[in-house]
Amino acid sequence: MAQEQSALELEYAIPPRQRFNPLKWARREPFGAFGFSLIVFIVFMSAAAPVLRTAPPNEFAVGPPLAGPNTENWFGTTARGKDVWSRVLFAGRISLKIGVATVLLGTLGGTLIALLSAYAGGAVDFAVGRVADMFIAIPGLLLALVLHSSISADLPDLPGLQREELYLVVAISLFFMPGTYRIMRGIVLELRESTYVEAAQVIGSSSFRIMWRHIAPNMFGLMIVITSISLPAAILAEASLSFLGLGVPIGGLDAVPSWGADLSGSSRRFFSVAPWLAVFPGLALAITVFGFNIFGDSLRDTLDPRLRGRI
Amino acid sequence: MRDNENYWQRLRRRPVSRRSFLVGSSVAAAGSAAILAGCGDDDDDDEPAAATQAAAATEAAATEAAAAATEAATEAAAAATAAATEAAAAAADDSHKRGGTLKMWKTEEDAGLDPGVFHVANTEVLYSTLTQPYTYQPTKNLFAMDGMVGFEQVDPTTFVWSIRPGMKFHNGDAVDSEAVAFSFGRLEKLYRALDGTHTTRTGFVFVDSFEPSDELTVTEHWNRPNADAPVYRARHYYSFINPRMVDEHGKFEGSYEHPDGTIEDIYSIQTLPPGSGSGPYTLTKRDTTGTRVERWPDYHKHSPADDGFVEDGPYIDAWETRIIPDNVAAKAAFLAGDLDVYAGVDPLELPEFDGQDHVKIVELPAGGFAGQGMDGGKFHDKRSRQALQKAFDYEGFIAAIRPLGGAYAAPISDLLSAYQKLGQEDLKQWLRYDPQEARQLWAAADFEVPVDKIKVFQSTGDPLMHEISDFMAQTLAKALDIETEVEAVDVNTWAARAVNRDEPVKDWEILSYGTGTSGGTTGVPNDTHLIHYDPRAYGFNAFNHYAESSRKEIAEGSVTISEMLNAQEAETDVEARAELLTEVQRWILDNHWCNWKLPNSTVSYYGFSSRLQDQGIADWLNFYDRRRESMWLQES
Repeated sequence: MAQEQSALELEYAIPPRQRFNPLKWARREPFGAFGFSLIVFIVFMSAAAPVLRTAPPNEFAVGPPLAGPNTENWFGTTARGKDVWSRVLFAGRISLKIGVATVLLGTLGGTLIALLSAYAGGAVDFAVGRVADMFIAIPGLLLALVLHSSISADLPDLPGLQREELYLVVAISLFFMPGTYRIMRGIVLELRESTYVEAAQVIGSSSFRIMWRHIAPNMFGLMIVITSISLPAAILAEASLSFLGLGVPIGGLDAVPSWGADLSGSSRRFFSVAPWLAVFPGLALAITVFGFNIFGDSLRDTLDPRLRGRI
Repeated sequence: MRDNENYWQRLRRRPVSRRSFLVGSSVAAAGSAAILAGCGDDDDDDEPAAATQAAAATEAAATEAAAAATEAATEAAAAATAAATEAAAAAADDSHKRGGTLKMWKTEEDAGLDPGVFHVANTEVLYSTLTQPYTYQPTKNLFAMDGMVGFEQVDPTTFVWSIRPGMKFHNGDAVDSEAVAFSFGRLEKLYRALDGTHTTRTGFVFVDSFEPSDELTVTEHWNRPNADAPVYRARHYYSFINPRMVDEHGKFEGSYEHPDGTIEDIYSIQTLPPGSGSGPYTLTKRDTTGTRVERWPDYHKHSPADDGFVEDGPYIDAWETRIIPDNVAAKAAFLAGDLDVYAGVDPLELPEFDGQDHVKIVELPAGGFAGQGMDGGKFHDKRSRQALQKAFDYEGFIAAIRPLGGAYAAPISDLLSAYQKLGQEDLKQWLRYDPQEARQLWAAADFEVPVDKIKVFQSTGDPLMHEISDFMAQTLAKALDIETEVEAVDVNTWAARAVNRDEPVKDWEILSYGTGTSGGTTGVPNDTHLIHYDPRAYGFNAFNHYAESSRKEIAEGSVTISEMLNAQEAETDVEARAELLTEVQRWILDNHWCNWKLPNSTVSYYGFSSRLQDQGIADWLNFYDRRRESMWLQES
């Protein structure tokens, strides 16, 4: 009897909480660790851009036109003599800024809507679901173009986020939000039927308390995974919109270089005679997206072992 | 075989085989020999009848005569054969020039096709499907007659035109003086009905009336002399439009009040339905992918054909113009052989064309402009305009944007060499970067509408345009310590907002237009580029610099410059006119009037496919190319 009891205790015992050991995680997820180091590298380079730059990124004629990589201009110059190295460094800022802001808004927004609508259920859930379906049905690029012509001019400048940047955040977030909602809604529906939620309802907990204290914390892990996986897609979306001229301000002293914008515009007509114009911004974009992708994949494996190796 | 060909066209197109050519030549030679033998030698024949002489000849003489006849026949046959060979070769030359499709591109769809209203992204249709009076090649100072066969200045204010007989619109209606007078006269009415949103006015502002004198004669009565009138009439604005098609298919544009107080409804013809024009081609496609014009089989003959024309109509069968918004995509298409023309080759990309045998890069005079227009509603105080011009770093601009060479630009183009008396050193007196003085002038200037941010407004399409606007925004921000931004929109939206006059001020501060690379001249100072400063043209509708302006300084300046512009237009003596033009330019520069030109490129390159022949390169950039019927495509 005692043996049976100890066996049961052992089976249902709550394992002691283990402290996160980064080195141990890195050994178990070497690709994830590599991805993380790439992200750290990109973030560092972007943050240190004002120090690491060799010229103001928007300054004309800091070197001869279309000069190849050299000791003065490490990544060469554009047709108008702008320094490519400095532009690549500064462009990382806008990519990361838009990427993070977009994913936070998209993921948090999608999660919050999913929590409210799925918990409420019924007509509310049905209506919200159809709206999400509608947004999913609209191609992202088309949505961005419509938003650009309809709301872009009316958006305000926010602290740290110019009007054009805000447009990018809104346009890309609206693209991610319905997908996040779909995934999160399923989790909420599942959690809503769990015994501890039923128990909380029985003891008279308010709906807000149940959502906030019992359901939301259980969505957190998946939210992180979605965030890490969406981020590279958001960075690519920013680059794509900037490539199409719908991105950040394109001229003036305060114009922000963007990898996508630098891969388009006047640079493109010189790619065959000056390949460095395409190689370096493209490489920076690829490294960033690759880093976030493999880090997100490992994070998903770590936080949700059931999915490990399935995808 | 083409469905719309008649028997004679098919017969003319039928190839001549070597055998049939030899048979024809032999028959011609034998016939010639017989005639020569029958007629004898004219040189030694003083008798009235060769037959009498032949009858009286002795046997020896007969033998000698026969021998001579044979020799003469042989020579005649040889001569006939040579002549026939030459003629056949000439015919063969001409026939091998015929056919093919010229492949062009443009960045935008047109906003309309009425030649009196829209002039952006539609000239490939207007010049090909409509007839203009003639073409003008400034490099040769040559008029080549098209819809007209002659013109005469009867007195300083009367001009008389003769219309080519036998012309028909594409629906069979006759092209007569009524139609031509209607086509010319409607321009003023359209201009009024549309409240001056287009810029054709300089070509008719001096005209009182266009009158049909008889069936094929039109008389213009002017209110003052104008030296450029004949050249203006070579432009597409003066295309012949079928009045019946305007009546039946026109779009109501507004009302026009005649001097006697009567009101007339005015219609445009934006879609150019079949029958609107009488040009060598008809419009067969116009959609979001581009346009296509194809040969009109009943096109009138040009006999004799002036320079650039062909008696039986253009050599090329069709023009296909694709819409390719992206310059780089157009270059790729050009290099792949899918386009015959690639405009605006950047000198820095020249190495990319090396070793490409199917294309040729041609150096042309860099007669373009990089204009920066200022909104007179905001910059009504001369000091504010002067501040903007002194805040611009000209040498920095040349170093950055014109790395292979740049030159300061005057109000009129340097291509007008007979008129341009301002040199580089003269221009540097006005176009001088001085940020300190710029700031002082800016601070002292009076602004009825506060300007705390400068928006540089440009159209998309050419990436170089963006670089220019970017430089402008940066240099102004640095020098004036003011916030700047660049806004880029598609060219039709850009044009609509540029001429929008709903508000007393524009929704931009500086309108950026032109890249200052390639560009030609029609030979008219107004076209290149006084029209940009003219209070009756762009000055009015784009830059709020006009006589009726509520800003006193702008209104007074408009009156002054209008008088100066009228005076130079009326002067027919080249030297005297050059003096007047110098005076106008100095006034513009002294008053920083309306807009200013950034330094131009000193070199300009244009790409053509190797198969395109006789395109009249020297005058390619002034719209003349659209009407050169003798262009042909050499198929490999």
